[in-house]
Amino acid sequence: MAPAIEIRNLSVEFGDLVALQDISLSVANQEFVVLLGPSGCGKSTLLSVLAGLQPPTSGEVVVKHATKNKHNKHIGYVFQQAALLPWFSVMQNITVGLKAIGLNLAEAERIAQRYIDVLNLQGFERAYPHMLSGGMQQRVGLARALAIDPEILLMDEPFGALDAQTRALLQEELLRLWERDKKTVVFVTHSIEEAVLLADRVIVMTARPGTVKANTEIDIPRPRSRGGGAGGKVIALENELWSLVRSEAVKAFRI
Amino acid sequence: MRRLTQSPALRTLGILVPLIVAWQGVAAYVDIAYILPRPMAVLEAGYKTLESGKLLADLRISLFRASVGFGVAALFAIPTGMAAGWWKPVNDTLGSIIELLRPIPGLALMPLTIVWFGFSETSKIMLIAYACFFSIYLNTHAGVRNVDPLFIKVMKVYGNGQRDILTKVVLYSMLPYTFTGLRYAVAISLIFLVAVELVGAQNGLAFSLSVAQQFLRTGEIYFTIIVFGVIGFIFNAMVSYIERKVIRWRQYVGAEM
Repeated sequence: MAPAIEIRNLSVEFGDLVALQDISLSVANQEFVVLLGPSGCGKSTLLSVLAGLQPPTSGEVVVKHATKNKHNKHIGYVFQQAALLPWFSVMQNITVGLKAIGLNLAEAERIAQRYIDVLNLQGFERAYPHMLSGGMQQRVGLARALAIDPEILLMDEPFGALDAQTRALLQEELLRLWERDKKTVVFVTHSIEEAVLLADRVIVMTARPGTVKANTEIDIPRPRSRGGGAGGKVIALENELWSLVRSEAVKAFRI
Repeated sequence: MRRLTQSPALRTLGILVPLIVAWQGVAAYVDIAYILPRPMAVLEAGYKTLESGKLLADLRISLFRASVGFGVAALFAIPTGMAAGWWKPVNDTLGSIIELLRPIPGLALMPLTIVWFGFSETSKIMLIAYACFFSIYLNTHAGVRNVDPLFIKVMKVYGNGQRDILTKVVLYSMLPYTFTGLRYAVAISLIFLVAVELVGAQNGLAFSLSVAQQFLRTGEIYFTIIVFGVIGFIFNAMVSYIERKVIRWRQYVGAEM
């Protein structure tokens, strides 16, 4: 089967600054890939390229079903800190994507309501984002992405700004939905623990300019749990990833 | 007691009553009616203008001039501010012309508008509209420039084009700024109303003000000044009211103006 995402020799430069350098990477259908790396390594830039927002300086990116010009409905994007439009209600925020792919209001609201129910946001349909907690805001952001039923879900440190408990609950929620709907996920984080909990495969990136440093399979059976049956293996993998990331984090720190 | 002090009407009264008492005291001490008439004399002068129908006639024409001037300004300033803030070509052309005109004091144009349009309503309304235009335009322009790029990214990721970005992000982002501009414009409309009525009018509140000055009817002068204050207060309250109704998504901090 053709991969969902195929990146060949991708480089992105902003003037003199090289954000991404010669990245080659392929993501299989329904695979959960986590990009792990120090801050400023170009993880977010890579997601922007995949979403069609940032043209590559050189190299090639093939995203399944992507059409040349129109940003397509096959990609759902979850932002850091939810990025909800403050003047729109929860319902309106979720229908923003649905209406853009040509659904009428009634149809869009019907689908949005389904995801409001799935993510336990009932009763907040008419609430404005500032009335919601950080965790609820991010659930709306997730609902917005899932509502268009994308094949590929791009997630840019979606739980980074949340407290530990909320983060853990949303991670479980995400895995539940991923196992149910089987989407291809590219998930950016700088948390090793999060990477090991979620990923089929972890891509470790170097400090700027960002390249692929390591490609680590996480062969722990699901459902995974903290300190569960595979406790020893989890710790071993976390240590392995930490030793890979540490030197890059140090470099990033000195830039 | 706490509840009482929180009522805005009572708070206003709590300021007004001592002020009037002090006024009465000073007026009685000075005792020169054409310099500082007593509050009661001002009220009497006001009642006379009301009874003769002059006050209402003046109010009608003055409010017409100020509000039409203000409205015309908003009608032109909001779309141009939005367009110039968003599209560089518009900013480079139309925006540059506006920037060229902006340093000219609006009052300096009064003789020209009179030459062009005579002592007509058009010349008065044009000048008020002209003066109000800039504060609405500038604030709207600034509002567009301050749109959070993240929201534009969100719209693009979800496949929205220019039109949706403008109507669903830019418009809402700029509104709080536009309202600030509108509030300034309210004050400016009254300043220019007075100016055009003092120079080239046969009626209106400020025209009556100049007549009262010629005949040394100080009571009426005081009364008309107070009327201007009340009009400004009501205009501002109306804009604030609309602002609160339109911008419901915002969390406000600090005290309301």
